[in-house]
Amino acid sequence: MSQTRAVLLVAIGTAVAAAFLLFANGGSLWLRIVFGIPLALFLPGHALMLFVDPEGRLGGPEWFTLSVSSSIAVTTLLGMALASTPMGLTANAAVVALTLVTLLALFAAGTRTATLSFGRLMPIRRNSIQRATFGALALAACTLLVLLLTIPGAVTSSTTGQVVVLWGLRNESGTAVRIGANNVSAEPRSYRLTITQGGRLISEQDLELPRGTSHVFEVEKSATWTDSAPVVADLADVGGTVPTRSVSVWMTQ
Amino acid sequence: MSHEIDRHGDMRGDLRAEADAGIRWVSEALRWTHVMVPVLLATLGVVCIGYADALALHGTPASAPLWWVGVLLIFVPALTTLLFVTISRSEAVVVLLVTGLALYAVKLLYAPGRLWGFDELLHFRTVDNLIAAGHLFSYNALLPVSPYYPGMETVTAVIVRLTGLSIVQSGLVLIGVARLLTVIALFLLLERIATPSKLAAPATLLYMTSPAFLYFDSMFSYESLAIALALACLFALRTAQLEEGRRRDRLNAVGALLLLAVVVTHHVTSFILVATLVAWTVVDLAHGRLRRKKARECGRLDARARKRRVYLGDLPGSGWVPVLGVVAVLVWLTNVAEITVAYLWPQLMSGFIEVARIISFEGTGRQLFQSTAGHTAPPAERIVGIGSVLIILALIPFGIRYLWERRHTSVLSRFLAVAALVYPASLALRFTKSGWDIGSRATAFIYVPLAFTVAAGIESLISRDVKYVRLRVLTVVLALSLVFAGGIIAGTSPITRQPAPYDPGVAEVPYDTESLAAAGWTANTLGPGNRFAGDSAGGTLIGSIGRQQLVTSDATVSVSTLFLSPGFNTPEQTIVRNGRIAYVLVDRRIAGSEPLKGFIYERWERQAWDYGSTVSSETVNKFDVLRDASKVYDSGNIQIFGLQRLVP
Repeated sequence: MSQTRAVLLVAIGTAVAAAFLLFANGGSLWLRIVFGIPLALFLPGHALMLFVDPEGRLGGPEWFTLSVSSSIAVTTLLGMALASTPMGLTANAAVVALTLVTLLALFAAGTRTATLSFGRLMPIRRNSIQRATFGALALAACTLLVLLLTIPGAVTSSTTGQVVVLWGLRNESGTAVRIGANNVSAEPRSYRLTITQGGRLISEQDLELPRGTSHVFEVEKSATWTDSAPVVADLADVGGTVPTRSVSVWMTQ
Repeated sequence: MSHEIDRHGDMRGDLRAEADAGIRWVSEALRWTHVMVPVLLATLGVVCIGYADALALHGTPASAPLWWVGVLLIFVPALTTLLFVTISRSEAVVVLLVTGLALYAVKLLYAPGRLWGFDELLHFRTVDNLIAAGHLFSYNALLPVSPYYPGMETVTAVIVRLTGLSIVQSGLVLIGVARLLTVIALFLLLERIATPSKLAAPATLLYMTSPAFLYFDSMFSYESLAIALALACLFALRTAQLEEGRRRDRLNAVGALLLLAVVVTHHVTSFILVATLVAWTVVDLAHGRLRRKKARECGRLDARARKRRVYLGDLPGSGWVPVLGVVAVLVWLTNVAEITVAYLWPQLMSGFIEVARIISFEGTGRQLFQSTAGHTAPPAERIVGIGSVLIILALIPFGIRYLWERRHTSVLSRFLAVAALVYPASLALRFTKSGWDIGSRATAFIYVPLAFTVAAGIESLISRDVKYVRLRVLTVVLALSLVFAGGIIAGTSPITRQPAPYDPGVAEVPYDTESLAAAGWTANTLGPGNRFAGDSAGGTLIGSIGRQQLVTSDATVSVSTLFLSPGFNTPEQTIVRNGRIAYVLVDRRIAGSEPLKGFIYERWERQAWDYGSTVSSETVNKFDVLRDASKVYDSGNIQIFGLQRLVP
């Protein structure tokens, strides 16, 4: 691949990635990963390497190492520069800055001795089919490995026990209390939530709490409430295996 | 690899000789048959470890042997392939990358998708602050120096912003990339130093036997990224030294860019990188002068010999990159990260003072293979640990001799051989309580010259013409496997090497679902920035992922007393008032848990209150019976109490 073609290809890749990240607000996570990670960790350094080694004398491992490491260095220094501005480190600012730096390096690479027929996107000399196959497989394996292992519980799970949460918080003015029940990781069960204040029953209700769900109730303070006792909430498992959760919230401080 | 160097009869001629002597790879071809065995066995090893970790979570005793089988399946086939199979350069690269990634997978499998290292949570908070504020240097009470070295956090924040991945996922991807970089940059650097250059492959594999490699340098921590960038920087500068003209200038510029990134990423790595560059420059200058002197003594006073001199451009980074490094480190240290000296100095000094006291028979030092709570490693692990150190110490002299006497050995090879002698000196730190931490963390740097020298030692032994080839292969593989296992034993504790059901007396940080749910609740429902007190592990989680302000002991506040005293009276009320503690986190699993890591709340807690072997259930649950405390959160094991009413 000629230097010009390599420069054009990287420029197009950078422009497409930048356009997607800038204009496809809330696009698919997978597409954002596909475009975002190369823009942060590969393309700026790769453009720089097209400028540094236009003859392509360095081998594939050397190009990979210097492309990725200098991309990280560029992203670090650019990110810090952006974070030092009043605008701060925003997504759009990062995309624009990384794209500009990449295009600048490509411009510098493109204007250098365009008559030399040398550069390449990834140096492929001999056994090109083998290398391409290996590269694709390795990339796929790495992506699969990293993504699988970064998804919680994908391979092994650190979950211990049945986690059911009951919480209660008074509002700032002390006129109401919020009671919440979350089933984080327990089997779906029926629960009975009882709320009392000063020994008086305020509310009693049955809850179905499938795994990963939560219920929040807001209870307004009434004139019958006494300041000498907290609001007490109990969450009892109707099936009987999860111990009762209990919170007590003082309305006065 | 190609090197285009003109012969000028000066140091460039030496560089050319180094480059020529280094080209020893059989070919560049990649043959699947040569890499299939180590790759498939490494994959099997990762599967074994995943299975062993799953068993360990259920307390199955067989999980530990299976785990060891897994790590040896990753290491031994790679070692055998690199040492005893005639492979091409591409094949060596593939084997090294697969081994490096497989060992990173061991860290990921410990708690998939979660941060489980103490340091990881400290850096999580810095990234979280950076993303929330959009600006640098937000205060991090958990690790105040971290915001002043925001390199890794900035890249993570950019990935989070660009991709929408979580901080944890972005961090794990970044450190995975850093792991790849570490392996390949070290290989390429050593390849340009070693003669024969194929020595770089076993040397890089031996670097993976460092105690820090398996877990510590896989953590989401600034050192993990900084080491990768530092090695890439040294590789760029060494490549530049072997080039000339404008190519050299451009590669030096890349090296300088990487150097600046290291300076803003990690303090110790930047100091060591700059010191290495300065030492490399001095060695090159001294080597040039020595050669001129020898030429004069031999009477070779011809014009070429007289002109044999060291040009500035031939020095590492053409002389200007090391100067830039010194200036950058000093400017950053004095204008931005002044806090670094106060952070590092006490740790360094206490380690060295302790060594001095041991040497002068005034102190007893630390018992090897024993935790601060007195938990001792099994005898087999102690034997392997000591054996691995003895093997390394035995191989160093062979390596030094090989590197010193070999023709066309580069001056850098000899420099690394001498630097390997730092390893025996660093072992002294392991006998001290405070120096243990420094010694363990320093291995990431010490093992670069050490691995190179030990690989040279191995090469000198196996290249000899001996009769019993199979016995020789077996001996070398066994010895180096022992070195690898010894590195793991030195870097990990048998009680935390594999995941286990959470125990606050053992784990440095909780990574179980219940603890994470509590941290998530404080961040999302309670709101960030409340002043919290808690045990060491749970408090760190609440202070990082929970985004709360963790209160630690100072002159007027003793968090240990607050939790460990049996009641809640005037002294405890004073602690809450002085510390402006709004909430306390109580982990009921503390009751009955033996503090095998040495403490539950703080390292000096027994000076505040000696609670015997475990904290009693009554003490742990004392907030539950306080009438005026609001219990605002209850998940069974974890409870959070609001203390606003107790201390008006």
